[in-house]
Amino acid sequence: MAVDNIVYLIPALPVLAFVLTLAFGKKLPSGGGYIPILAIAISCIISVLAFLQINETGVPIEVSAHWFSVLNVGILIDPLASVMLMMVTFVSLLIHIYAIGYMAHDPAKPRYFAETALFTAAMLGVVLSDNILQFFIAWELVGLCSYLLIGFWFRKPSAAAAGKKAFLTTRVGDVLFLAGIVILFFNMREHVLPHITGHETVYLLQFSTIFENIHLIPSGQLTIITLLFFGGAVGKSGQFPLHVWLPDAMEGPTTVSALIHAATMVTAGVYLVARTFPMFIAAPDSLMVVAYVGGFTALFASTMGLVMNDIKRVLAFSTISQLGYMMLALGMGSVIGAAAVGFAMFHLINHAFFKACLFLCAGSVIHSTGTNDLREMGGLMSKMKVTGITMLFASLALAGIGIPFINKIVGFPVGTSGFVSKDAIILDATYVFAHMTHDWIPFAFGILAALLTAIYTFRLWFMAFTGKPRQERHPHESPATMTGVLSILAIFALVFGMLTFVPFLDFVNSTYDPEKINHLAELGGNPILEDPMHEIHHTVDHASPIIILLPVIAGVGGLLLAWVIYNRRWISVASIGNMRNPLFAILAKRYYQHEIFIELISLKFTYGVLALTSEFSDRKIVDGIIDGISSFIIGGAEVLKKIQTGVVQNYATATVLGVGLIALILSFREVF
Amino acid sequence: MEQLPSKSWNIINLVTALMLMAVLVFAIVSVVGLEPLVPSTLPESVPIDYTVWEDGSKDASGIEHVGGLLFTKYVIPFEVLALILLAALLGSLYMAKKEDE
Amino acid sequence: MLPVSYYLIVAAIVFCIGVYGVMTLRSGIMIMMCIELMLNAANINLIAFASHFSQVNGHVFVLFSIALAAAEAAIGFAILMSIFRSKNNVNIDNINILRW
Repeated sequence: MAVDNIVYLIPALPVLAFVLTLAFGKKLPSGGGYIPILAIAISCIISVLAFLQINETGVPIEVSAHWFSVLNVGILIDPLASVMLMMVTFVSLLIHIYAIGYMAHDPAKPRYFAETALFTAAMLGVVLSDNILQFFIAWELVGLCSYLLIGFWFRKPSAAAAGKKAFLTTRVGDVLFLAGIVILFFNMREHVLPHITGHETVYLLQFSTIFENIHLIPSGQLTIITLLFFGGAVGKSGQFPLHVWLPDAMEGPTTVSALIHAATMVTAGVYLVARTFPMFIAAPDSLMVVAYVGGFTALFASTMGLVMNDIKRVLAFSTISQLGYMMLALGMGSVIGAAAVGFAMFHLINHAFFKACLFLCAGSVIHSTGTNDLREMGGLMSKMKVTGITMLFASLALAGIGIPFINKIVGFPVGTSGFVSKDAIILDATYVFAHMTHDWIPFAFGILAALLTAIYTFRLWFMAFTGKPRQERHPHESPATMTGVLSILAIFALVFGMLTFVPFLDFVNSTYDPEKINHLAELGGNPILEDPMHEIHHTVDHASPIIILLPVIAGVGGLLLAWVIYNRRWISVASIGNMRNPLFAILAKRYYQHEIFIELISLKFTYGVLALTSEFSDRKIVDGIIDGISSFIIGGAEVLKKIQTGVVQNYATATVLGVGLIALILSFREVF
Repeated sequence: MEQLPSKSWNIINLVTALMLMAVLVFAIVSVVGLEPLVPSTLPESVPIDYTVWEDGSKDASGIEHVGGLLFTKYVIPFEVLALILLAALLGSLYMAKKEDE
Repeated sequence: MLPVSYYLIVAAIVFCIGVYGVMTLRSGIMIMMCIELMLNAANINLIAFASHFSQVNGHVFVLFSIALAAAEAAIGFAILMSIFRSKNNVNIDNINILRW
């Protein structure tokens, strides 16, 4: 039985769950939470079946229906989409199970489960869509659900403001994305449509149609389109400068942060770039922009994560930083071709596991201690063993701790999944890039960010779980639904990367035909390697051992530094870690972005200059003209009305005047 | 509240009257001309109502002729005029009567 | 015979004097007299042409015109009587309720 017939159920079942939970949730036990769990579990099973079918046959699943004119709706499951599908459904399922325990005391449970079910459906819509317009529609729906869920506790003003900020900031990205789609559509219609002689209807915005005809689109237009698409990804994935919404989005429940802002929604931006990767290959300038923005964001966010005291905000900045890594990996595609997609997606999947685990552990800690502030925690290890151990595994994964050099002996890399994927990006992507183009900046970004990541990750762990309790609290371990999920995710965080490295890359890299990619790269003026993976292995094998050791040194060094400062307290950071230190002040104030964005740009410039000028001109000039015309007419009437004196003789005068004039005219006509 | 003072209205009136006079005179002079119109220039087809006396002489003017026309050709307007005069008489009598308290 | 235009010009002048009087004079009775002037000017016109073309129709028409002028003068003076009763004078100037 071909899975093609039932793939439409993958997004449809969560939508059904949304409707049912909203309608009947109040009457069911635990707020109707079991309905989405059931729906997503079935979607997960169907996703696995689809993956098996694609793996076996090598043919992507395509289902399409005509919508109107040159547009269609459809489902495309190629290797790229299928790994994303499995990750989204699986992580979403686990987090829903966790939420049954976490949200047990919240009265608005039905609304929560309905909104997360809708969110899952929208995210699946993004992953499954086979044309860019449907992608955008689902993308917008994802943004809406994010707004609803961030502002879940809407009676809290900070939560409502955070939801609004998230929606508006991603909106900026969405507008850029939409502009890119419109320009793409017009280009397709103008340049591509004349060449496609139709036996059947051709759909202009379908990915397959676009990729087959990229060579017909002028390269300048292509650069603009891909930059605009990247603008959309910047908004959704929180890259600089549109990252400002992610830290504030931690106002929502922790499960929301885990689902949306770690594993799924923010990865939609990376997925977008991966999905439209052939277009980016043909416009290598955009790829450079992607790489540099991603790398800079990775470093930038990790500097800010160092000084945060809220446990969730540290993780939020960590998310932004890791997304920067993914963009950095994609940007290396100008040298390594389609393999860049493999590396980025591998890090995406692994990040989903360990970041979700970290967030859920943080949720467990918050649930038991009742506070978010790291300064009020300490010594939790004795009371919360499962949480502590799972968080340790996930932190090791985030910091990228593993054993180098063994991969040459055993055939696969040994270490946490974060080590495998981050190592892949830093060595296989940025190092090869630097080797080929002598541009060492992406490599430097990667190493520095890895160091800082390890520092703040273990700062968090040591401050929360070791040492003496800083305050009198009575922490307790979380219920089994929660710790079970934590354990599953921690195991994935540990071993998934190791076990699936090589097959995963082969599978995902088969999405894009290397020959076509090379052809497109030549179009962009940037010929790349014939057989990327082979070349990559060759280059890395011949690299100096220092280079190979650098990521591990960064990771372990960060861990040791954090251990020294926050556990052993051999070095005290109190002298540099307060607001009198200007460097610390800049970081703690998040580089004054609030001041720049809101005070300067929003208030002073947009409001003060643009808005007030427009209001002035509207009031004085436009209204002035209208009022002027009317007062002119009224004034004229005031003068003219004096003719009506009411005295009949004056009317007789007027009559005689008129008659005289008529007689004059007539007689003139007679005479001449 | 304020009326145009009679002085300016007087000027307007004067100007209007003079203009009317100029127009009329100009029209007359340009259409009819200043030379005497000879009666013989009247085309033959225009009928003239003559009074024919017993001795056969024709007379085109005179009060007998007026009377004759008044009671033959124009008798209907004559009767209507009588009615109009009657109406005018009655109307003005009624309007000018003193109101009884 | 004098050219007929002379008579017409005289009639025009008389007519204009009447028009001026109607427009200017304040008293109602004077206005009535000027109206009679205007009617008479028209009569002069009629008589001039009638006599010039040796026709009698003009004279008949003048007869009707004079009779109608008399009727109209009677009505006019009756109206003036009503005005006089309410205002105690016949200044037409003061009847200006329908002004702006």
